Amino acid sequence: MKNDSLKSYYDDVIVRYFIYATLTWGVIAFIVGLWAALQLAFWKFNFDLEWLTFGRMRPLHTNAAIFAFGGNAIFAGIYHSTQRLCKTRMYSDFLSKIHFWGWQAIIVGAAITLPLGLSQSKEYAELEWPLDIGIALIWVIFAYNFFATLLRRKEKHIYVAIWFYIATIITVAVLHIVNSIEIPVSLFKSYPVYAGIQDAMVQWWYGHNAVAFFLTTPFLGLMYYYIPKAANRPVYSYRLSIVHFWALIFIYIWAGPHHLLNTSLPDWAQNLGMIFSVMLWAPSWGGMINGLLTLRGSWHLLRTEPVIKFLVTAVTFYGMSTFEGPLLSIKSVSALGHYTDWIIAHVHGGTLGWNGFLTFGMIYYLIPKLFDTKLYSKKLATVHFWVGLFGILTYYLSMWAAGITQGLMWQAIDASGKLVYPEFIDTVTRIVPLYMVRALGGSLYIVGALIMVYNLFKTIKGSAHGAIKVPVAAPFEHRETGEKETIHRKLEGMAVTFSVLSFIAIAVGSAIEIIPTLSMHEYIRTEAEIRPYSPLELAGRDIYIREGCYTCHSQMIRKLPFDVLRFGKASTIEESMYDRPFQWGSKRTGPDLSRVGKRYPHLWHFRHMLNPRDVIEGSIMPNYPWLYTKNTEFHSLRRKLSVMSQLGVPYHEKEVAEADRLAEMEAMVIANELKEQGARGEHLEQKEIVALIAYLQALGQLKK
Amino acid sequence: MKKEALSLFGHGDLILFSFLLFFVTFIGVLIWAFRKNQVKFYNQMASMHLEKVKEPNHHE
Ligand code: HEC
Repeated sequence: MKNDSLKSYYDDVIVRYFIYATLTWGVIAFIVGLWAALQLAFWKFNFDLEWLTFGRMRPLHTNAAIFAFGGNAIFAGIYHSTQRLCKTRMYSDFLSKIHFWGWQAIIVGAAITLPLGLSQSKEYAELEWPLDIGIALIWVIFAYNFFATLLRRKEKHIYVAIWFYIATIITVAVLHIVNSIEIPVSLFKSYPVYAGIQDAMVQWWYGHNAVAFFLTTPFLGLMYYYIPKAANRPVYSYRLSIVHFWALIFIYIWAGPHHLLNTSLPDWAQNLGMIFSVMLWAPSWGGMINGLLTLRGSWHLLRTEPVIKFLVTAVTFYGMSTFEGPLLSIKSVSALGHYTDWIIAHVHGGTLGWNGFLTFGMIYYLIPKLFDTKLYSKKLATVHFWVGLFGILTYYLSMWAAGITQGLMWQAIDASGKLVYPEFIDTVTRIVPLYMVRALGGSLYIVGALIMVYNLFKTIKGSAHGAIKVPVAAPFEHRETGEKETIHRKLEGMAVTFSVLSFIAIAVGSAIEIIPTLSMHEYIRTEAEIRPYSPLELAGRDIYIREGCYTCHSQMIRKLPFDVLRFGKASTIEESMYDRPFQWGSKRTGPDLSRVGKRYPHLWHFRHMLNPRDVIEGSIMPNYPWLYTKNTEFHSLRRKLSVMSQLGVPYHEKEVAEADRLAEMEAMVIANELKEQGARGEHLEQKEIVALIAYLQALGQLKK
Repeated sequence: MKKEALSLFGHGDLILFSFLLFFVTFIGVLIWAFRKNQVKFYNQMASMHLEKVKEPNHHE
């Protein structure tokens, strides 16, 4: 009996939970981002604490922003709109709760492990294997609950928003699982089964499509629900939305290689990525136009309704980002923009403008509805809007200017064929003032968000009856035609067919790009040309990964004259074929390191890592004092080498069996050289800094 | 065998093939979406979210 009556109401408790989580994690994610940004403007901002350095904060920021803020926001919207579009309560309240608490537990896990340096160093997939398994489990529970709700829906037809949710759920599962195939070494350390170029390809297929299927498709679903709802208008063109949907998901999945333009990735893959990225412009704008034109006849709302202000601006930012994205995917533009802050500008236009503002608009719409009241203050919401918008523009313009300035400086070659700015640091100090401006922009955005939290708090406090229960509405069909409950099998069939078709649409592109890449090692001569890392170098490499050096350093010299002039011969596929995970990087706040080996004596690195400003005036690289006190984990090396050799790295059996002893011997040699050169310190050979130096000196030196 | 096949597969052909695949899908979707006699259905779908719900009256 009790259950029956429950079923006649929507489950909005879960919606409110997800909204509160969105707000909480949102503010945290933004503050962590600001903190990371401040470290680039003022290097001292990490207080020499390892947990707070840029390399560990940056993954925390991106994961929190995408999965904690973005994730909870889309779940709130999906749970709210799906029930209303299906005219039924969620299939299981229990599963909804597991989804909610499970997801928050994963976020807490991330917030603990990432500052500790437990990271796979694959962007937006940094979490180690136990958390990866957790994510997969919770996602499956969410999917089960969602599809079961869909199958018992009372509405015959599936509204376009739900198609976008379906594509999201299926594709994120595929992306996460394929990209996370790794072999554990210990409880919090694993090596991916992919190496070098294969890892790069899979990772950016994942990375790009995390943007596509975590930050785009679900938000488009929300757009198709909340914009018409808030404006009380029908969707501008339902036909366009069909074309939008299929074209978008079909094309998006191919675009990953645009993150690897001009690298050693074979041309066919680069060109595919470029062509499909440029094509992506069309469906993206189709969707934007459809969203905006839905407001035709209601434009006056833009002046009076903060909700509409946020939603419309969000869609406008979507249009801007999806114009800029294809532009940046053109090889020659990428040559300028890649590795610079232009990309950071681009990303934040998308996240702060599109995802952030859409979320804010949705929440401003939802909270008064869920509490059957009016927003406490429209004025404050409007203030939030303007402060936030000004923050985004400040952020965007400063990073855009920083990126293009630095990109042009890297490219500048004089008449005699020499680099105009041969000292990398000169291209850094030039843009540091812009890092300060960026931090200001971020601060404004946070102020706006805090105003919202206050406004919502007051709204909830002031509601006359608290949270309300909304009865499930009668389905459309029944009222139109008077039909009874229709043939269920057929409905189920539709949802399943639809899901299968979506899966095929994303699987085709994935397969065509990834399968040839995965068989590439069969045609190259890695073993003949390159030696694997020695045990000590491997230990150093894992320190490099732990510290998140990839967040500031690339290890990929592109096939571009100015890259080659600055850093040496273009990187080859073979050179990173033993790299698990690959460390090609995506941002050069510091110089490329793929050929840094043997460029400087050990002592240079020894001093540089302790305080970079000791050797390079004006450097913004953090100090790494803890590397001088912590001991290298020699004992885990046997296990590490054995996993590597299982994965096909050609280590001798003897090497694996004696890995720790070999590493200690190597360390002794380097420590002695350091002492000869004048370094001081007790038991240097045991310290992590020595392992890291061994690794840095091996970079670009592995050719047989 | 698989090795040879894969080494041949690639380069320009792959791009052309992918593009054609997209093109065919796209045209298919267009034709499907713009079928005639669907106007009423589309109008109905376009305002699906707008149906009036009963006024909420029960409090938690
Ligand atoms: C906040 C960004 C940042 C992080 C994180 C960072 N670096 Fe740097 N790194 C720089 C900058 C900027 C420079 C250029 C100025 C200098 O040499 O100090 C640089 C320079 C270097 C150089 C000299 C390269 C050359 O060719 O002269 C090495 C080696 C280096 N970093 C290693 C590392 C290692 C190892 C880590 C991780 C433990 C790391 N960096 C983390 C920003 C960073």
